[in-house]
Amino acid sequence: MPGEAISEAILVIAGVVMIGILAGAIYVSLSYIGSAVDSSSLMGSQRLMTQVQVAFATNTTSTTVYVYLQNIGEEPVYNVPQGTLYFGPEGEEQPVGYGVTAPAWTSNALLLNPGYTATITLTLSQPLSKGSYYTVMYVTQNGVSTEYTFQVI
Amino acid sequence: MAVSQVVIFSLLALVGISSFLVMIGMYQKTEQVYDHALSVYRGLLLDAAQTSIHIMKVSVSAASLYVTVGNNGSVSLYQFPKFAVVVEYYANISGVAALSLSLYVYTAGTPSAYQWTSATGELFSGRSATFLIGLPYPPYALSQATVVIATNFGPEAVWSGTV
Repeated sequence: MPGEAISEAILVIAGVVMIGILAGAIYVSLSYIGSAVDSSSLMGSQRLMTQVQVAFATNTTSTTVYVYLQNIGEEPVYNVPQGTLYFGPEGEEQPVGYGVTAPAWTSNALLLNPGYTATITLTLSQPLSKGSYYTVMYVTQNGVSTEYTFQVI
Repeated sequence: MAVSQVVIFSLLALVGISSFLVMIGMYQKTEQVYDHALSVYRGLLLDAAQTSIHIMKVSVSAASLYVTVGNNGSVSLYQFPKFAVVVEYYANISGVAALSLSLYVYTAGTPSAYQWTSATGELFSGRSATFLIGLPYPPYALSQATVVIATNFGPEAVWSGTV
């Protein structure tokens, strides 16, 4: 009988240890899954609430284009220069880098809160051709895009 | 059943039920975040779909531009600070025509250069309002101009003509 009790005790201890290890592993896995699901849902919801539009775009010289980017969503657009700007003849847009050396673009706002409008200045290395249609497209960091096509006059 | 089996099955059940509850909690939290975002998104789409404006008339007096805007949407518009107003025109600077393109900022008072206001207040559905835009210089006589008014919900009106 004492031998049986000792075996039971050993089995209980071994069982508790094994279940403790299992619970720890499950806890770690759930933590990873939880944080991944949290960040995924946050990013998805932020994307749903982000909306921008190019209110107007036109050229003032053959190598300078002004773009007015309006935030019509409920979420701020963080770090406007980190977005991607595409520009070119309609259907042949190419990405343009942020900076000062043409072709490049600059923005007068780093953060674009809902209801605000940023002015983007695009400086080109090649002159625009009169009468042609050009498209400018801006894509925010979280993947929301807007585009505008205008005719060079 | 031996004591060890009872203890082990109890603990296993406890771990299983706790994990299940944690997963249910995570799912509900995610669902709440998405539900909120979806309702905001639907609201934005609905507001945009119900908004429609058009520019009925543009006139100029010295360095003031009077723009009559009609609201043919089904929502009233009053969040003017969130509008985007852009004017492109040829300014008369000492008798020389110079292209001016700028974004104008809303003011509740009398607009000075690069500012605008709604002279008649809220733009009700089915009604019109006059927007007064303060230009930096008077327009060059009989020159081309473009006025863009984009509402806070997105839809916009563009006018091009001679001022």
